[in-house]
Amino acid sequence: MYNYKFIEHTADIAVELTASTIEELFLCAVDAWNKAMLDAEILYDDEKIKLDFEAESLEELLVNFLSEINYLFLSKKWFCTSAEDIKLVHTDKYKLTARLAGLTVDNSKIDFKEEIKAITYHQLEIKKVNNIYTTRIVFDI
Amino acid sequence: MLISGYEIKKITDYLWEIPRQGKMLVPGRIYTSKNMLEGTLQNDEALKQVVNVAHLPGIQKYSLAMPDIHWGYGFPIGGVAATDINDGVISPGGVGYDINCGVRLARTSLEYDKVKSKIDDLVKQFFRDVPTGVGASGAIKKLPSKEIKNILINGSQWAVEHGFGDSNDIEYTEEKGKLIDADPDAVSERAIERGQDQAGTLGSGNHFLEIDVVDEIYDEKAAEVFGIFKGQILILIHTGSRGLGYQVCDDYLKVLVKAEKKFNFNLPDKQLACAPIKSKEGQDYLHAMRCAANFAWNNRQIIMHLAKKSLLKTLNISESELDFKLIYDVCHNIAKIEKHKIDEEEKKVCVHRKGATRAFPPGSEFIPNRYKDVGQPVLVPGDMGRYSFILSGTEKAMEKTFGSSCHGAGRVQSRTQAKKAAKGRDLIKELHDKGISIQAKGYGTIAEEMPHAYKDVFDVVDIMHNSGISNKVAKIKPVGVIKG
Repeated sequence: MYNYKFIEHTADIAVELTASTIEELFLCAVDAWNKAMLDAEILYDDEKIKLDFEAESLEELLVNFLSEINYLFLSKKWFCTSAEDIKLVHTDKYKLTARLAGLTVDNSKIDFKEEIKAITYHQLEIKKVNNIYTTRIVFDI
Repeated sequence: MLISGYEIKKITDYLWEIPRQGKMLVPGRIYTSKNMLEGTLQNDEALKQVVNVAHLPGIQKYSLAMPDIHWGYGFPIGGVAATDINDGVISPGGVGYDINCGVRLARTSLEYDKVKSKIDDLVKQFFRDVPTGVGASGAIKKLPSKEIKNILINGSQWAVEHGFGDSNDIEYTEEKGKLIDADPDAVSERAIERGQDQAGTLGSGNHFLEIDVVDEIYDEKAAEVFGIFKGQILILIHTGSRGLGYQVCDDYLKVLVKAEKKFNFNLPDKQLACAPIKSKEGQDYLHAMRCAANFAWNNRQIIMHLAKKSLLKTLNISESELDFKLIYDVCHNIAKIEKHKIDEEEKKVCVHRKGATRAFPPGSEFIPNRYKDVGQPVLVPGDMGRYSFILSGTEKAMEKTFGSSCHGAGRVQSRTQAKKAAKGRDLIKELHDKGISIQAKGYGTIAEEMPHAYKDVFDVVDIMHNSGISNKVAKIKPVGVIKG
């Protein structure tokens, strides 16, 4: 069970996430992205996709990661139902590998409640306090 | 007066200033009223964003905001800033994700009283013909990337050349529907891919296609020049560059977030990422942004053509009976190189308009000949239940706001608040009782976009009119709406 809540935002969708590890924070962000788009839960998947990224900051990594998931939906009609096996390594850069589960969807048959058009940097700061990771993400819709 | 943590100085009843402080390079100036300052702006981050924008290298005169100001990403929505092209910067945050989001208004010879009974059918036909909603696609056949690149260079001229409109439409589009110096090589394959099946689609969110009726005329001369009369049916289209524009913004934010370090800018907000206009990064963004702007003009041109076909089919009339003509197409998310008077000298600047409309005056060489006596039309949509406005540009806008005016109403309620307020109500029936027919992909969109989720655009427009930045020409009311 991921720990996040959607918060009031005048024009777009904002979500606050809490996790005990950085990997869990990223998994949590994927789930929030999914729930922001769809009320119902899709309980099956038919394809796994592997992703790897590197970035100079955790924030940049998170934006790039979610942007890729969003792109797969908007452009390839491939909807990510969950992320699995996230690994994050910090050397000179932050490196992430992840496996996504999802399926190709027909937009006309699924009632998506929103179209997330971009993942923003607005108020995005990943904090670690007392071994708890938190951040806020704003989705532009 | 202390608002949102800032001491605000009154210049006139409609213009307020945040004096220079800290590392601000210029003061902030906001066209607004005491009521709005004490109301919607009291707990909004938008004033902080006006201050942040005042830190941009090369900013000229003021960090400006129009009366529909509310917080955005980097710049506030309603923000206007001009930067020196020699030592200033360009920022995607001053343009927005939806590059060249804009409004197109077309007129017909139809009178509401004579087609009132057909509005429901028209709305249904529009909804069938114009793809709307999440991931809307397929208005025209999916285009190969080579053809998308032609659109990125030629803008709405591509649509007209391919049978989606009339050559006169080009004359009545800002920049004639095509920004020059657009370079598709600066646009990623991914952005092009996102545009391949989205030409001629409305999309989701606050985008719409409306049937409006001219309700009140304030300036008879300008109305006559714009070709509008009381009771006339108009078609209003609000959309932008769709996924292609978003991808361009996304791609260049990544580049410019890094450029911030390279150029040693110390900006107060990451979404204000920018690069010197003359740098490679700045030029690449400008070239790509112009491509996305051209895609948006082409998009609205195709939608206008689809709307014409819907009108002809549903009403079973001839083209000459319909007399469908473009009044004007304006963009309200853009950065453009323009000449403006600064310290008594004409200077080339990069004007960022983020949720702000160009409002060029009578006599401007950049507006159609037909409008030379009255100034360009400034199109200001309100909400789907009340009204929208047609204004005209003025010389004062050139002097005070780099030729810019407001762009809309601006939200006052979050989508969640709007949905809560809509609970237990039948908004479709409420709108219908007011004489407005609506079709949308889902009831959620109607709830989120309900009229009172927005400021009253009347108040916004009044500030622009009373401060002389643009003049009221006409008020128009929706009678049919399609939403994504």
